[in-house]
Amino acid sequence: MTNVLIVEDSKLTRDLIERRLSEDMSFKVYTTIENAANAEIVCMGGKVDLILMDICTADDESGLKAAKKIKSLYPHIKIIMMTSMPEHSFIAKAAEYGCDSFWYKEYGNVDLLEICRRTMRGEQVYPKKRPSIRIGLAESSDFTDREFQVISELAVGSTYVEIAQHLNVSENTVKYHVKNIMSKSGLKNTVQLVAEVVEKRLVLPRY
Amino acid sequence: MKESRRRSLSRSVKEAIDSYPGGLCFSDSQGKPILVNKKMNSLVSALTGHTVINANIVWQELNSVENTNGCVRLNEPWLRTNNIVVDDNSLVFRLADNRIWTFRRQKLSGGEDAAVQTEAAEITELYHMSEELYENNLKLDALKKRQEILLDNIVEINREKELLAAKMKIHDDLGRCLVAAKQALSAENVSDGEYKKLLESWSAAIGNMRDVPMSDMSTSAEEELDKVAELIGCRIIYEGEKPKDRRTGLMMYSAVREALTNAVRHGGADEITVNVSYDEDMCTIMISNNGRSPEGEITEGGGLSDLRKSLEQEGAVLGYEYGDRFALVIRIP
Repeated sequence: MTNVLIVEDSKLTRDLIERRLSEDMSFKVYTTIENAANAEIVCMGGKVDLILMDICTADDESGLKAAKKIKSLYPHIKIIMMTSMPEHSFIAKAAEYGCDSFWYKEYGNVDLLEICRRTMRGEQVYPKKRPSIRIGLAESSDFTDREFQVISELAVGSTYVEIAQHLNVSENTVKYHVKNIMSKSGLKNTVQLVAEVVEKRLVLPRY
Repeated sequence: MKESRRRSLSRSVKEAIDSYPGGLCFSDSQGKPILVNKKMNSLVSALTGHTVINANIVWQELNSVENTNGCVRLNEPWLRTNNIVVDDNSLVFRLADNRIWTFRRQKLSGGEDAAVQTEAAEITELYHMSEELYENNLKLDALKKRQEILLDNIVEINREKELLAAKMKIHDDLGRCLVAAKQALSAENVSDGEYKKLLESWSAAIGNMRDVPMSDMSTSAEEELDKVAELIGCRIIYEGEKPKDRRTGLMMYSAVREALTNAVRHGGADEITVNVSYDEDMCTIMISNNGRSPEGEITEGGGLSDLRKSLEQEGAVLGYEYGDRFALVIRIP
């Protein structure tokens, strides 16, 4: 029997996940919570085998940060990160923090129960690619990770000088990236660019 | 011969500085003009009504010009931020012909009695471009603020979208069931299998509908903390009136969460007491537990230092009390 902790702040999604898991008797929902920061406390009880962790949870707590801490304290607990956000960095962060699998609630074509089973068998199930979202004339997949880092910095209002410091590159390199981004997207200015990536949830710096 | 050459040289210098498009005036430390070009005299005349007789007096007069003969002193704050006015020895005027001129005065090197140079330059184009830049920066600031609000709310907007999408799906399922039921009722020959399938569709649609919440309201942070504390055999007791505003509440629950984790993990506690008190504009939250107190001063690990950072970002202060019962003390303005 696999005890599952569901961390999900939408009651509707939580209910749907619970219903799906109830179709396989080998999974038992141990408890459900809405705030990722509380997941570590639940794990302290020693009864959790698998966590289905949403990334954007109640009170703006990040599921990724919670997962990172839990993996460092309880590496035996399997964690499947879940999100409906196409944000560009989530998959890479989940892998970096040692999360076992990753499931897109909206974009993925892999069934949740199948991911749970495969994860418990020791497999790492990650989407092969991020969902591609249109940014101006380009697809989000046309942009490099570095370009997305620059876009994320622009989204939080950093100046070129600040971006250069944060990314440890020269200001000219930042300008070069911005020029390429604008050329690919065909957008008129960086304000338009930022408005578009935020509206399409490709950049969520807080998480 | 020598005198004639000297005069010729003086004439050449005067002609040269008269042909300079800006205004130039060199004077001694007492303000007595040494060399003044035509442009400077014409500019000073437009602003003060006379040519340069004493450069020091002219500078004082320029400083007191507000709106004279259609000439206006320009004092916008962005003139300094855009480096058009660099210090108190810079003045900017719009003349009657709408051209913008800047006057700058500086001592030339050579000690106390050094000559003083007053220079005037036309900056009409620079001024208008700077004005445009300033206005664009204001617009950008406003956009940035809107962007920050959007970033703050995008997750909530997404949540609403998810809820709406789920409700629409149930609406569609129900619609399909109704159409199928209508067809079955009007048809003459409906097999048992078709009836069974229809019944299954209705059951699924009604089941989904029953589970849809009327709203996606979260359980409170307090309820959830109580729940997880109970799962690890701990009870949280609150004393005093809990904060009513969300910001203070969130800070309090973050601190309680950290205290709970540490008290159970390191002190074996099974009871946490949260005491809330208020004096004037300060809310003080003291979180203690019935577990073992730390031996000596505590070293802040990742959890406590993260808590300290997040509290300090909000202007709150984290401290410790070492007594019979170790306590975390948070003061929130």
